[in-house]
Amino acid sequence: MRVRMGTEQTIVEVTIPSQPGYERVAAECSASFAGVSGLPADRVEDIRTAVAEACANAMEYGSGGCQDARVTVTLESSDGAVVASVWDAGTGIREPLLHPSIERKIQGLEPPKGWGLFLIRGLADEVDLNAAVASGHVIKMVFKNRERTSP
Amino acid sequence: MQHPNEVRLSELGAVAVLEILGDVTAASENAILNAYSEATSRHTGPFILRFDSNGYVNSGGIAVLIQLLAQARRNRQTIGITGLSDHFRKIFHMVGITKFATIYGTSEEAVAALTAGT
Repeated sequence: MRVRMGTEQTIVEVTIPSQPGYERVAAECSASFAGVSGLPADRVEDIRTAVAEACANAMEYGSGGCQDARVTVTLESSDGAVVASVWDAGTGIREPLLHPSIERKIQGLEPPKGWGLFLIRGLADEVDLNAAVASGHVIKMVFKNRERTSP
Repeated sequence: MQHPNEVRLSELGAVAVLEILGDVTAASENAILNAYSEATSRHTGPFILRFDSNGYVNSGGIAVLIQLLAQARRNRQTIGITGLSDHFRKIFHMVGITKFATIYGTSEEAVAALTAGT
């Protein structure tokens, strides 16, 4: 983990291997950061899950399954919110994002997987899925410091 | 980095209980679905899925649970869920798992509801 001190904000950077299971390391760091930043317990859980899902997506799609690749998470506290960004070397999301249907999945009409982006969108207050950067792609998620009334 | 699950089978009266220890992820598929198949071979009544309250369920784990729920639906079995934290209760509601299984506070509450009227 690396901590960069800025004049107005502190940025924490976590880099993990692109291997299933390590997303938990980034998720726990993110939850810890959110707690230290003053987010309430339910929001801490939201960021824990959303960061884990974004990292898992980055490993599967952004890194193309290459286990030598790395996934980086940056965490910033800004205006009472926590901004979590997950960086990978991929090209972002090109296909239309369909809303998964559990009814269709139960009937076998859709594959059972495909919930990651659904959860990210449901848990974060703001999501930018396709922020392109010179070295790849980043998903940026904002978690505000307030109680959410519904997902 | 991912650890295998242990799934324990037991019975509470007329209800079979699958206790899933550890995190529920895509890596849990064989452990959970095999345990369900084994249990179903000798138990056709309702089931309880009892989760580890300190465990973590990700989208890959949700996909495994959907496969189990699909099989249970084909087998005409009612499923109750216990042991979830408030966060994962919210996640299960978001995804729609609660359309196909009911979440209960305790196993005793689940057994009472799943065997009511039998």
